[in-house]
Amino acid sequence: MSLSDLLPATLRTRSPISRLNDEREAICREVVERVARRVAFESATRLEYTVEALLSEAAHVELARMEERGLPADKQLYWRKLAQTVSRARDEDSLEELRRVSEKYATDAIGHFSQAAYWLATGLVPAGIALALSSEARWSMLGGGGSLSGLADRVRIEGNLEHLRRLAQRGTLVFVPTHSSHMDNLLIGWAIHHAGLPAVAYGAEVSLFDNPLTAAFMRNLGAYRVDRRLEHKLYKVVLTELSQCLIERGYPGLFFAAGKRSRTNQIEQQLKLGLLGSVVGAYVRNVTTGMVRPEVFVVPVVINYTHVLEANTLIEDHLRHRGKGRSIIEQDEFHQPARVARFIQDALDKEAPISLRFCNPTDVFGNELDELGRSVGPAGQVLDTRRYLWVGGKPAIDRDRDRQYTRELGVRLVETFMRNNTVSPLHIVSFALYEHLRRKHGSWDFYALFRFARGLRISTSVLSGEVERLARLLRREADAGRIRLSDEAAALDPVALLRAAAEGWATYHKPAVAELVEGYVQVSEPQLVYFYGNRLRGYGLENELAEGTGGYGHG
Amino acid sequence: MAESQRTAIGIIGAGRVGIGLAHVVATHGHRVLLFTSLEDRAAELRATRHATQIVPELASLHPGVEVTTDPAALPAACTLLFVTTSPDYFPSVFERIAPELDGAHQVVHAIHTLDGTGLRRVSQRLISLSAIRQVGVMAGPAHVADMLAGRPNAVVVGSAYPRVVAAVRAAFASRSIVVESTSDIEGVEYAAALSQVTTLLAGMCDGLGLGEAAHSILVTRGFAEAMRVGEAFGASPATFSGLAGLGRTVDSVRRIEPNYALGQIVGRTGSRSASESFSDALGPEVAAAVVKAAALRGMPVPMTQAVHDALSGAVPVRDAVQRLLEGDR
Repeated sequence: MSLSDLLPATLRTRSPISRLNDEREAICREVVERVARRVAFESATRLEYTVEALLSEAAHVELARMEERGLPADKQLYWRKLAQTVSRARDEDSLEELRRVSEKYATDAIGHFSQAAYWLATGLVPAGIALALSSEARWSMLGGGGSLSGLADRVRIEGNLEHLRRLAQRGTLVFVPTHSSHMDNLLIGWAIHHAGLPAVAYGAEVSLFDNPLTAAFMRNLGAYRVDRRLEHKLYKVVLTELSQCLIERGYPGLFFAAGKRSRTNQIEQQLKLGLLGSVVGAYVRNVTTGMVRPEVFVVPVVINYTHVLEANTLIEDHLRHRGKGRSIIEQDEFHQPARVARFIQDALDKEAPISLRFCNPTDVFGNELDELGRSVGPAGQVLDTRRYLWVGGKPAIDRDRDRQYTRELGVRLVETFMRNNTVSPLHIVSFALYEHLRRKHGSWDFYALFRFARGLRISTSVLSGEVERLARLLRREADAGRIRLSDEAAALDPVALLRAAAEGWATYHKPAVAELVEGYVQVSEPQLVYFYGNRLRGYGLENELAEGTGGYGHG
Repeated sequence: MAESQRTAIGIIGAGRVGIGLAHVVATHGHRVLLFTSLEDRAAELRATRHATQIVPELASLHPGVEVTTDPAALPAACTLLFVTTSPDYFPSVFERIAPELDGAHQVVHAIHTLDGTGLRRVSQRLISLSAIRQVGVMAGPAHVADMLAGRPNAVVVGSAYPRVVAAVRAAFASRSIVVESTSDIEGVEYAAALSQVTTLLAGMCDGLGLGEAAHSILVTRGFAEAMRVGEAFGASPATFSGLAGLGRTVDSVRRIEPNYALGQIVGRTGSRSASESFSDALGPEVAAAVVKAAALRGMPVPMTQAVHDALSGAVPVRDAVQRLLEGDR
């Protein structure tokens, strides 16, 4: 008998997460079946998806990782043998091996799902997260006076939560937040709980489970383990199928839109289509199998920070790897208690330094939803969304079509993120300052700018002029609903913006990003000026700003 | 209406392309619903079965074509719809049909223009105005006269949805009409729209009598510029070498291509008023949009700029085109 059996039925149904303990073996089995089917389908047209290619790639990635970590040879035996034998194994043996490996990955991900997760979900323990948040004992080891519970008080949760709570009764919610910081993991979990929304199951980086400060936290959030260092196709297929399987079974989901923290602090422009595809796939499958309540609702969330805890590490990583694909950061500010404490302490001194904005939810095709969770078209007409799946008079799975639906959903998510991005004076003035430097020193390349701009002085009157012109453009963009201004930035008064930005530059970051000194702004950390300014990138403002008069047709 | 009954093919817009296409699709054995918002046009087509002013070479419209002015008729009877209106009519006509469309409809357009400083493609507008997702674009040097006469012809269909391509093939692909396809819908839309500017430029060059070398130089450079602009907006450059890009650019030697004809008159007479009588020529509006969009992005577009300057009267046409051909001194 599990603990959930002791609870009244009403409490047990609060979040389906409570079922995960009982269902996880069945889920793992199902994932293995689906991986096998998916591989059979994909390998018909794509050579890199044959059983042999997938296993061989998996073995080599695993071995490379083990060597990197200096694991002894005997630990590597299984993979070494697989790498050597896979090319001459019989097809049925290889398929059996593929199933075994898939099962191992699926079990690694959800097998350690903790009791605490469903305590939270059933409401038996008054919010595992709240407990952790208020646990002074745990967080006092951070040093400093700040606690996460204090921080949580300062986090503003925005959006039509009532609508979301209603939708949670009518379909499966999948939250898709922007991702700036590991703090997101804590804040989004807390916000979902605080807003009275059902606890989610989601894949979080394995390093968060290894960190003693966050391990308990992560389990409380309903997180399962994802090891992003396992950069190979088979692992990704397992995770995608697992994600889809969970959503189909009605587990509310969550994944970060781009899969990793934004290195530049710009709003994500490219989303992880694999995981997004599992959301579309879950709906399609629910409909084609005739499920009674097939609806899956997508909830975009924009997490707006003024300062970003890992700003230094993220931008350095970006500068180091620009154009060279992705990298995985294993140690950063999030793993340094003193830095976390300083971040929290500084945030506590400010009004609403962080906001989580739950944007308008949509169906998996990007259509808006009415109060009853019905999809609504642009003309306000209620839609029968099953018709998106019509093939010859009935709903059917069509992977090519569904892949394109996924891309369309991704496009809409990016648009929503951009519209709900809330910029503060720190971002606005940093953007104006960086753009000024870039234009003034046009002959310097991207990297030279960061080397040479350190210590540069710009007169505040020049910068004010830039800010004033930028403010005019921002007013237009904000009025058109294409971007949002924080309370502090709402008036767009250049003097106030500059003053608030100077305060922002000196908060949290040591040394200050830039300083106001006797009529000048002195730049100390140009890469952070760039980082914070990037929050305004993607709106085409830089070229209009360069034209000097406010841009084409507005001068 | 039951799905099995939605077997008709819808064509929105009874202009030259719309009427021609309706006839060809009906000839292939399909029931066709042809929608026009113009009551006179509908009445004329119903009564006489031809439109002497628009498609003189069509003797009699195929009996399988039913002409309607009821916007709800097409979505109820068709899964596949073609939109062939002129850009001016497009928003008002499509707005009437849009509320009746849902996720099962497939909409393919042949409107080769770009909108606003974001150079928005028509398929993006189709999606934002309605609930449809399965969209496609049709382009190429498809000449209505050749199609009606059964002479060899080819179009390219750009759609990320294989079923949309298959539906178009089933509608009219034949031995004389080859239907090529690509999943790069962006590429086809940008190529088809932008190549009209090059065609205009070629017309101006010939109208000015600048010679064959100048013609080749401008066509080549114009093509390269179109490809560069398209690529900046997410199109695959490879698509430009297909029917929608190169195919239409090569069309610039053909005297009756509307953009070419307009350019030629402007080049010969220096008069800009000619554009009014060439409403099929979308080169001018595409050039205007590209010039604005490029300025915002700090992207040089000398070829398009010259066309736009000449048409807007900012620079005399001879100077605008000549300037492109001058070397460094």
